[in-house]
Amino acid sequence: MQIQRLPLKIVFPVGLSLLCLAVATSVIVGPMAITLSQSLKAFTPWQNELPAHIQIVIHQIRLPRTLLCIAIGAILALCGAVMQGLFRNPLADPGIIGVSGGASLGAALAIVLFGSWAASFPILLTLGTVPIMAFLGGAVSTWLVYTLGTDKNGTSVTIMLLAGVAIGALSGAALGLMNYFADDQALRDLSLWTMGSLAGATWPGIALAFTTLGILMWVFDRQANALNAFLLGEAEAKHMGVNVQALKRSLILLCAAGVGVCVSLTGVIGFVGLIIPHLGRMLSGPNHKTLLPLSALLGALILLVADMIARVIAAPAELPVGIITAILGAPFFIMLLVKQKGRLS
Amino acid sequence: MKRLVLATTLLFTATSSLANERIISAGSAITELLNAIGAQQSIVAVDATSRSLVSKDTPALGYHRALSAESLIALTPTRLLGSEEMGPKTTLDLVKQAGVEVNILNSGETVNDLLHRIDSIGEITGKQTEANQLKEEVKQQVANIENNNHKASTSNKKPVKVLFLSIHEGRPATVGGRNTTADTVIRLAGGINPAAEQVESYKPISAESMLEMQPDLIMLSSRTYNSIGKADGLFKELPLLAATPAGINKAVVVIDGTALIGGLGLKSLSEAERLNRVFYP
Repeated sequence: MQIQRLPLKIVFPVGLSLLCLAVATSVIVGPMAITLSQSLKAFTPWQNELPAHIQIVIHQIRLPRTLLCIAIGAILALCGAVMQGLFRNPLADPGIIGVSGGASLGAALAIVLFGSWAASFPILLTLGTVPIMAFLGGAVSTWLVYTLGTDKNGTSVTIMLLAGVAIGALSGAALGLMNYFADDQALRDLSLWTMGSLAGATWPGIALAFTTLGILMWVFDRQANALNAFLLGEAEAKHMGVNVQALKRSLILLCAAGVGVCVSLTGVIGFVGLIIPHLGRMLSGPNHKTLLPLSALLGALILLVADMIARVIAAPAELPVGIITAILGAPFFIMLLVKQKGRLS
Repeated sequence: MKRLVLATTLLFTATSSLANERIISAGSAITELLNAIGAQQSIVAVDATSRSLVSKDTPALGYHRALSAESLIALTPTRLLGSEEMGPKTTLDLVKQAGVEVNILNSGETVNDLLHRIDSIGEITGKQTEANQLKEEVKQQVANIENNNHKASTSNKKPVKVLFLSIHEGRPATVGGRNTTADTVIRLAGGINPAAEQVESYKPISAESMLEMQPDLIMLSSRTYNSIGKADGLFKELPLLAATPAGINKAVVVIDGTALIGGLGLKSLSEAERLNRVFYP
């Protein structure tokens, strides 16, 4: 059975309206009972008659979180789509270049070594030591993977793929080793961090995420045609006039930066970058010109829905959003595989 | 009896300052103190570690290091009590902005930390009288233990070596080293913790190292004890222990698991007193 591809003039408007609906729901829904009219009043500051605590919940908890969800979901899905295109591998996810593993290791070092001191250590953008270390860890491991995969003849994606696996295993081992140096608190913090959460949304963080998203959208869009050529194979793309080496370098750098920003703001959120591009291809086909913006749209939408579930399903406690994306994502992915069996093999 | 008298007097002296307090307690060591001074009716929600200390219908906020700001504010508390570990910081900032008083109490491992914590709780809730009475009880308990230890040392009893083990299916057993409540309880009760010199916090160690420590007693949490199949199950799981005094005498003591969470608390102290009688009858 084939999934029906939809015409783009339907897909985008429907996707956008669903996103708007999800944004509205995300601001209205939460553990605290706030009526629709109260939520609306929060956005008309000139007639302010709301209790302070409701204002705080809407302006400083739900709204920032909603916005951060949109940016992070979009970046992850976008980088996932680009990585799958670059590696010509349907199993590629944004972490394939070692960025997630390295970032986790950086965060682990920060949590275990600096512990509570890190939490109160003010650095630029009010991001703490953990995000900075996560970003650096991601950058270092990406650089390692890239260097391992590159020689005078250019960069081999196959070698990079394997190097990424090796670096991932190495950081996994290092994390395991940490278990023996960390106390219980640090271990629990670390395990929470590796499941991701959008609870720490701050305005500087949101600004950073949207700036990153804007840059990625713009650059990737200009390279969409080159990515399409890449689908035919590296040699073919070269013959079509694509500067293959420059393309690889810039895509890897941008993806590493994008995922690095995401991971440092929210911890590791899995599955979004792996699944959304496939969903995008099902709906609109493999052309990167449309696939990239559609992936960004769907990524934002899905992460927003997942975060809503994470916020209310166990209220008053809150689940890490990574658990929800995996619960939603894994069965969906299996279903995709079953339906696409013929096409993938 | 003393407790009963205390409880009845409390019923009649509900202070007005507490009558309209709505407290969220994020930490079992804090919840047990609120209960002990008769402030339980002002608790509106607790964290995961306190669930066994409050009625079933009290909302639970999950793990105290990953509190949800909105859920906290939604419960319209007047106060949030927790330890230094409580977080994340963004949540605490938002809760403060919403006009909730946030009080950080110590979660330390010494008797002085506990006394200090009782003082703070008394001040916060305006129940200084009850807090002072509770402190007297704590001091009395410590004195009892010390007297018994003194008696034991004058009658030339050898100090007992106690090893705390925590066992999870399919993983190496974990010992309680330095800076753990298990270690504090063992030392308070007059025992020696042979693991304290070698490891810090709860760490997996090899059976060989356990053998080398030659413990006289193995201490298990109630949960481990029941899941492993009591003492027999323990020596089946770790057959090497048979070559230690504890194994030869099948000497196993059980400690209530809740006494080991969130620093030295009332429960830890009463367990130390009970174990002290077991170590030095």
